[in-house]
Amino acid sequence: MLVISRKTGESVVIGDGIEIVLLEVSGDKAVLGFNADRSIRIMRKELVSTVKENITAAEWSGSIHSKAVKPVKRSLGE
Amino acid sequence: MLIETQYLGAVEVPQENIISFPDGIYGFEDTKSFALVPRGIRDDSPMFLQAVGDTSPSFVVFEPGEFVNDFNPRVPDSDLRELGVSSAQELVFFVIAVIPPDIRCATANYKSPVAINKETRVGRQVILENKNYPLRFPIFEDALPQPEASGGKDVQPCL
Repeated sequence: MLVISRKTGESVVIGDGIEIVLLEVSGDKAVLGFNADRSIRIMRKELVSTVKENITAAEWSGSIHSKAVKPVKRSLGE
Repeated sequence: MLIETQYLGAVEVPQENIISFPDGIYGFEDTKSFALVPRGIRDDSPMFLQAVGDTSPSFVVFEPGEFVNDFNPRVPDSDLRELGVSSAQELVFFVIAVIPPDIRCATANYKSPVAINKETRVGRQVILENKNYPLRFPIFEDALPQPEASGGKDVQPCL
């Protein structure tokens, strides 16, 4: 993986038209700004998996008509 | 309000069950209104989160407490603001389930539940800050196919 250090206000450029600006750093959070053509989809990575999960959920929502099984409650932890 | 559903035909749904989603649901951003439609008459029946104005999408949703006993969501401040509340206690949550043909493999998404402001009936899918909350929480842990039990034959593991 390419690793580049940037200070607040500095940026990196990907390809011809995508600029990523480091806007703010506080604690373990960085705020990024993106300058790119509107046709380029930019998403937080966890959202990509959520989108896929939602699409699968919608495709299979009819399966609930099969037999019901009563689950046992468990713990999520933190 | 009479809602045309994907699986149950036309169902009369009380107005308080109509939830507006200004940003839609991830992957379904154009659907701005959903109805919570009870599946059956039993109290513990799951609900459908059914698009209003179109028969799909329709999601199977459950109250988080249905499968776990310690749901304690930490909602990002930006989502609380969007929902017009100051704490997660003011919200009602539902987890979206994936129910594959082999129901034993069913999972529920505890990482990104749907949060609803009870007062305004505005909803939003949120990504919780709870690090261990899984995208795919197996609903039926005890019922999962166990390849060992049958010598590895005739049992498809969950995907």
